[in-house]
Amino acid sequence: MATTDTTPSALASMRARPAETRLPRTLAGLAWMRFRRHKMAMFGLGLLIAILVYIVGGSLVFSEAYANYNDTTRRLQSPSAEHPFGTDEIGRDILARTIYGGQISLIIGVLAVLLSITIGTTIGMLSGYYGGLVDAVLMRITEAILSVPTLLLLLVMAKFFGGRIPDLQLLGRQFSGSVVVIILIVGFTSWTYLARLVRSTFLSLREQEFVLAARAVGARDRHIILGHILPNAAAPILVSATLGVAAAILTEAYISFLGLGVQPPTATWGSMMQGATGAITRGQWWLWFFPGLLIVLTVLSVNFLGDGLRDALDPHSDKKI
Amino acid sequence: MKRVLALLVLAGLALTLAAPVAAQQPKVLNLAFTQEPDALPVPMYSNMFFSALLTPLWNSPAWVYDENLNLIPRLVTEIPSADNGGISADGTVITLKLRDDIVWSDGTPITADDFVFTYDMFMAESNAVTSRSPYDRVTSVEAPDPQTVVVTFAEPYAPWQPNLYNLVLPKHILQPVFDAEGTLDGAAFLRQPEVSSGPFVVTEWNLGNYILFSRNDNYFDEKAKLDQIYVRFVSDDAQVAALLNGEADLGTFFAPDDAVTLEQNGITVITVPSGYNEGIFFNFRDIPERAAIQDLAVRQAIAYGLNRDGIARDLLRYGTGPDDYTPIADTYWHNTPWANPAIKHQPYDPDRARQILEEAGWVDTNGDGIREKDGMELKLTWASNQRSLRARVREVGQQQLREIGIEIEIVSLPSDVYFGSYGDGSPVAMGEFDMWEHSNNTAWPDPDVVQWTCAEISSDDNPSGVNDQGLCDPELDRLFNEQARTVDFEARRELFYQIQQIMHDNVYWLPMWHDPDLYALSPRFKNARIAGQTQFWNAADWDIE
Amino acid sequence: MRAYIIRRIVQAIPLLFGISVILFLMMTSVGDPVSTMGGRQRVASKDRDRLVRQLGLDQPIHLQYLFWLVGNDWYRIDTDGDGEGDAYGTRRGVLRGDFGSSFRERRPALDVIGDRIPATLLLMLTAEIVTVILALVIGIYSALRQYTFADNLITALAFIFYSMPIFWIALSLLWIFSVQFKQAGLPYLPTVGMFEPGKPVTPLEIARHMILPVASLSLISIAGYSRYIRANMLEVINADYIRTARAKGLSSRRVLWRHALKNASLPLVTLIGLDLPFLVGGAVVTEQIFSWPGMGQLFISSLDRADFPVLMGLLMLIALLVVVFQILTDLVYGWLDPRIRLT
Repeated sequence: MATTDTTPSALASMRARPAETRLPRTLAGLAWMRFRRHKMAMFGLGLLIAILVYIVGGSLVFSEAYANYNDTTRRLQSPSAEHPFGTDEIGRDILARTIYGGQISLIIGVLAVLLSITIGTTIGMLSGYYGGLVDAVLMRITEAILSVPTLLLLLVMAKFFGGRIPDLQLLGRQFSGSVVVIILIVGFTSWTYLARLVRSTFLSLREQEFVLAARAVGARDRHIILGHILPNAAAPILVSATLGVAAAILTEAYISFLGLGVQPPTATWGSMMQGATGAITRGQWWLWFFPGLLIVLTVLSVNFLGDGLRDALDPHSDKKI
Repeated sequence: MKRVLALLVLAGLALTLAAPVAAQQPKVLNLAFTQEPDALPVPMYSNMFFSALLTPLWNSPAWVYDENLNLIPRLVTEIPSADNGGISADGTVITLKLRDDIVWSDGTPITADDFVFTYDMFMAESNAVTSRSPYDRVTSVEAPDPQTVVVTFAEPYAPWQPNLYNLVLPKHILQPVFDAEGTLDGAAFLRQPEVSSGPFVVTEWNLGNYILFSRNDNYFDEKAKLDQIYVRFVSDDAQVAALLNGEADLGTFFAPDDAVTLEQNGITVITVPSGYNEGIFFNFRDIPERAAIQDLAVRQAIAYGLNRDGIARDLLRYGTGPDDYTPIADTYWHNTPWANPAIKHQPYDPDRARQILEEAGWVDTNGDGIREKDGMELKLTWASNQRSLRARVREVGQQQLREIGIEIEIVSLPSDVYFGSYGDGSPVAMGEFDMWEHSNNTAWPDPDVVQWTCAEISSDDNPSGVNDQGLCDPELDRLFNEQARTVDFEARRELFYQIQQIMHDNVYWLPMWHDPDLYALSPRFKNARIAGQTQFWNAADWDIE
Repeated sequence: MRAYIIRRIVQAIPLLFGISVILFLMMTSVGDPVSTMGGRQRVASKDRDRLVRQLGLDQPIHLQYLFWLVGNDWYRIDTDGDGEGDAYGTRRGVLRGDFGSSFRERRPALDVIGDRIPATLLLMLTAEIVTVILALVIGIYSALRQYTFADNLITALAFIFYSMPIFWIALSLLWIFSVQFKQAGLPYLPTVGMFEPGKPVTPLEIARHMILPVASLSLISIAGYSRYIRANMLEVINADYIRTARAKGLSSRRVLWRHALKNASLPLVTLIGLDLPFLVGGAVVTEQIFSWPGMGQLFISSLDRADFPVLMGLLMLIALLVVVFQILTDLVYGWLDPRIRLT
């Protein structure tokens, strides 16, 4: 089996106890080398850096006030020298809005996915490994959460908050209360599929020879779970993370629409797409094209990065790099 | 049909329903509705706009309004008035003289008994009807003879015309149902009326898909020109596509921007006033945090500081012409005979707005761009539902008010929360916002409205009250109560002139734009004379080329 | 095995009970059914007070739940508004198969839901089948040709569709294949509904109306599914036992279908098991845009109007199916991978 080989086990145990040993530097170096030789991964990394430069560097060129400045006399103008991405329904510059929208959308996309992956993986691991009562309780909770539609939950929350989220003022503007709420909502409602996927991997692996062997030599559960079995669940976790970024960015738009999220005039990629609904049938393509393109590029870059990461960490697939 | 589908799904059987072979091409009109009606009897089991639209097709009201809001008798021989003895001297008794040739589609005559039965059904405790108006003000309905209906109100009720007997139930069909079930709540009649008194009968309601109306060959007036009308239920976006593709001949409730697209593609877009005006309501409840908005100077500054003309000109277009936009309303009764011609909306004048604020002591002392007074920052909340046009308008308004030193927080709520009642804990009714914006009308075409009277203030004691502003102006209250009891047109109009002056001078309500209904009509659709009330009143005359 | 199934069913009872309590509590705060009964007007105070009483919304929440669960034919309710109970109710409760009457349509909630099931299943099952088949083909092809131009192109396309909101895909298809095709004089697809009114309803006609909604639903989910399949196939293809099998001289195709696919199918089964119950719930956006008379449309219109009886019926149906399909999924695991022991 894949992980009965010495290398992945060693690699995995390094991850569990990274501090003292001599090996990880070599292994990490090996992984980085593989990663660097991975063309698509480097492409993904380059793309992501370019997007970061765009949204961070862009904010040095355009002020946020400019991004939010509306002038209805210049509404719905197609791309021109003055407004390279055109203007929206109340005459705001779409280029500037994609820059500021990107900052919030990326933060939401990444943090919400991290939260969701952490919860989903943890619950899937515990449930699949321990089985019995733990599995019964965790999976019944999962089923209960699956049964309550997110839309309903959002509406109830929208009513509870009266359309307004108190500002947390944690780390300044971008981290206002509504962004935290969106991250929490997306994070806490999107982990169920992953939990089931991780659980199925654990169910199938926990009785295998290498796990039994590890147990026989007295390895602790934590070591077996994180070191031996979890690396085998990397595929669903990575896919679910890449897909999750797109889903989170789009879900944000709907949450904001319900009055629970980012409030106007602040832009996000998702809400720019949402606002362009009618534009599709009116031929005003620039309203959806630019934010849509940025979302696609972001998700693609995250995906290629993820692929590269997995290949770099899994020596079996190296022959194709 | 249902069974056919079930079979299709479950067994994958290839079934073919034989098409009814018509000798000549039937005339079929397609209407596109963006919402499916709950039920047909309005206002008994539904108050939906789309249900009300259909009423004149299958159920003739006692009288209808034409597109110029003239009353036209339909079941009656003449419109009751003081002159013809239809209205008693004290204004409480209204006598309807029925035509003797009116029949249900099964040939049964329509008589005064049906009118009495209709009243009884509205008032029966076992019927959970959506609205009892105006019958809850009626003390008795009597039928001295088959062609005479005598309606007695507890006190004079001015807006009886748009509300009285716009629905008449067939006693011979529904009395047995009521006797057997004890209620009409689950009656088949709600969606599949067995008989019709209009130019069309309901042939089929295919839930989620369409309602099919076919010509009523027993109609007592001139028979319909069309053979069939299909009312199809479509999404907002598919509606535009269906109109462009010629799959629909009439559409309504679309965004102003779509109206422009439709016009550019040869579809006619018409505006029909229905008494609605979009406007901003203010919070007058005694809440310390809401004190700023209760300062008249602040409301006046908002009136001068919002470029309402610009918003209307740029965002509220319904056609390609330079003047094809809906104008700002000047009063709550804009574009009606009751509107006070002396009142014009405040022009956009940010300098004047700043001046008003300065004079009232609202000054920016700490240099953050927001004015303050007595330690209170001029920060206001502006709520509405999630309709995207309203979101855009408030974003524009937010920027304009910031320029005169007022900070606006935009709040968007789901519609049922936004329009909820005090008893239900709606944040609007509970007084949590400074300003909120939606479109309202009167008892159209009657000018009556109860939202401004002191008795309607929503509170713990009156959780269903509709005066969410919490406004109690004694003079305004007196005028509103007096007009509702005044039947004479001239006298009543004078009262409304005074009401409008008070509302304008105190900026109790800030008109945003006149909000007529938009209809899109296909080029082949002829004789569509759509009214602001009993909209499809001349459906018998509709035709296609 | 039998003991396991029985235990799961026993666990399901308190679970469904708990879900029903949570959903019912959410219902009471999701909206106000009476506030939307006035159409474009506010409901008059008198009508409101009466309707709240007639619909039983004036009862305390625990009583409302109890009536929903076991009915109110044992309880004297106040029918005339004098504040005193005067007649026994007529509801029999969910446990006796009565989900109450829809506030909107004034007929049994189960009938309202039942009417929508055929159309929804027809659309959703078709879309699911198309999705799974195409995703399998694409996922496996992509995995076998990892990092070739074709793989990268497929990946990019998959993510383009996955990254766009469903309404964008649906509206674009509608715009291109209905409106633009018609204007260009090409054969075009219908914009709305399941069939043309006034024309014979043939399977072919329904199929023609299904093309666009099925395409919208599939384009977006193929991306997700195929990514999971590709990733898992890659893991399995590179695993030792596949190499061993190949080394033993088994044909590639045989190895692929016999060994690799079976082992790569756990995630696929998991995903399908998670998706199937929600097929009954319909597709909210797609059904709305293409005016498909299914459950998604019903869910949204009921939610807009806070039609509790219909919403509760619909959501409990889905909850029941979630529970059932999770049991089935776990049983299928045992069959696919005999090492999995269900305890």
